[in-house]
Amino acid sequence: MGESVNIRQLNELVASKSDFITMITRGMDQTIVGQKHLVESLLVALLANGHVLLEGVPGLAKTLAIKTLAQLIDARYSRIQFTPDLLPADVIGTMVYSVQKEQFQVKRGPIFANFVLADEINRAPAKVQSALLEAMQERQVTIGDHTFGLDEPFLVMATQNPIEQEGTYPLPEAQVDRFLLKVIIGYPTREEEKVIVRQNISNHRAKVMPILRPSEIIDAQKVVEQIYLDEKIERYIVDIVFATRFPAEYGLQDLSGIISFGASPRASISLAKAARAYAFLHQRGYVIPEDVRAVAHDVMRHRIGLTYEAEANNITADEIISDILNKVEVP
Amino acid sequence: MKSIRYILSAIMIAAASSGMCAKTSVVAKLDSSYITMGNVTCLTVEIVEPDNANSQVGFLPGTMPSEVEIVGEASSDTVDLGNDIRQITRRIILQSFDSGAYTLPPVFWENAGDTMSSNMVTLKVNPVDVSHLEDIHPNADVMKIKSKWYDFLPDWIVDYWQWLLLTLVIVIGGVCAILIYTKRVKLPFIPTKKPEPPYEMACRRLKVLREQHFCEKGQEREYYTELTDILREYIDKRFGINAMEMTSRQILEHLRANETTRPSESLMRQILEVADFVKFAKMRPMPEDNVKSFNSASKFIEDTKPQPEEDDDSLKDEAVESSNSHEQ
Repeated sequence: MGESVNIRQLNELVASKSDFITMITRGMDQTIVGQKHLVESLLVALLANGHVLLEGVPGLAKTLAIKTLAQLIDARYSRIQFTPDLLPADVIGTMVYSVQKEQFQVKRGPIFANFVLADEINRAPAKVQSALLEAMQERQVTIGDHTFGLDEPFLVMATQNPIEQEGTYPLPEAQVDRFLLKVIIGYPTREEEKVIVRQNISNHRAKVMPILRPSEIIDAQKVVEQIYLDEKIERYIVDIVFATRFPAEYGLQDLSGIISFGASPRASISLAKAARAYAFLHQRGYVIPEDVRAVAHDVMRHRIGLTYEAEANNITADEIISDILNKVEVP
Repeated sequence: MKSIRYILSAIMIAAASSGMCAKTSVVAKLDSSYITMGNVTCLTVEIVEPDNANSQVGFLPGTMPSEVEIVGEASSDTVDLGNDIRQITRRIILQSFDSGAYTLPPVFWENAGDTMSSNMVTLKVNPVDVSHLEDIHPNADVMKIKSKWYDFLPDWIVDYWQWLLLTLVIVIGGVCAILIYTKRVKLPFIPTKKPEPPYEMACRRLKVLREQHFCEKGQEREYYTELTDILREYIDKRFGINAMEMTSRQILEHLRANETTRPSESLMRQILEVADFVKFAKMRPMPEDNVKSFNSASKFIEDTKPQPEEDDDSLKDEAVESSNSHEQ
């Protein structure tokens, strides 16, 4: 089979730069039992240069997952426990007075790391959330008169507890939209849980050793940006996003009454970015519809507004996305 | 002395009764003193009497001429005139069918032994001008009535035909809706085009695709897009798998799960793999790949085409026979 030069080169480039995927997956598997989707989503977000909002009950290895990933990449990791009395300065840093030097000095906050775990982000007030989300978006923070760029690669994994809603500050839609993915993780299977118990009671935990450097991730991110996205795939992405806004035009009249607002253009951009990263994970230099479908739920579930009627009937955003994917014609 | 006292009392009582009579009057008048035979007129009787009077008014029996009939009484009004006096107006309707002049008797008023009569009035009844005897009119012929069709219907149908029609329409509409909904009948007046069977349609479209010579023109993407569309639509219509909304992997999974398509799944796999490369990776396949894909598509359609019904019947017969033999 003959092929155009660009795609051939791209495929070779992807193949050469995606070797580490297998190693990272294997390294994660040694520490994290199950939660394949979480690991895959973290890699997608990392490669697409995005951030992850994670929802799941406590004790599902959320912290362990991002910590292990940071160790495998030999990257800086920090964890911020969001509480109601947290201040923006606690996240981004502040100016402190040095008695020795007799001047104010910048004390950088925990956001200056490659991997940041924002634990229970909805427990902090809006000003702290805004400070974090602005830093996530701009990839720089300003302390006093100084502006500092954040480390690269930079991935924020924010967690939300779906059970306790009392005393929380739910993230506004506009800010949730800034997360590339919203991943929902569930309980492990029976077999997986047996392995988890066995690992923990025996104190026999594999020591995580770095297997690549952050610069290699940055290289991989550059390759991901080059992955070929055909016009047919673009049209497919736009169709999916438009179906959330105008469901009746896609034969989904039933959804008209249960979607209060559809996904934004940022959803289309995120869908394209995440699909590219997913193609890279599968060592492909081009995106196929399968890649779009694979990431569609994670990309769009936090970008669709549900009506009261939908919530009263326990209809979830995931069900709506599934309906849309099953109705929009695949190229 | 005692006799003088009786005389004075009698004089005072007489004076009091004459005072009462002075307050009372009864007047009768006709609305029209001349009427034509058969017509009616009104005799108005105006009675002025004290408020506390419990009077009775009427004609004396046998005094009204037999030619004049009292048809009835119209409205009666009472007006308070002040000074404990009231005026009662009674209107008596009279009719007569005999010409002549009749003096109506006075109307009598009676209250606690006191009586009074009204004036007498005269009613003139004029005869009607009839045709002269020389104008002889023959008996009219019996008319022929032009009967309409609805004259033969019962009255209840004619009276309530709108409601009956509405009820009929609703009932017929309801029955039709049920029958159409349950697909028991097909509307004969709506022309239905018999849908082309999936196999025939796929074969026809493959033939058209071959004649378009996309690959010879360097339009491999269009060629593979059309080829996969033909196959996906065929799978959709033939097996009910909504392949148009599925990715290549999902289509192959469904084909593997289906008994009929499982043996031919490898053919589809080859086509879809090449098609994905061409459609989404800008790759240009070799000419032999194009031919191979086309042949695979044809073979897939041939392998999975519906079997003739005879075969189905024979299979059923065989199944019945085998089950019978098992039962025996």
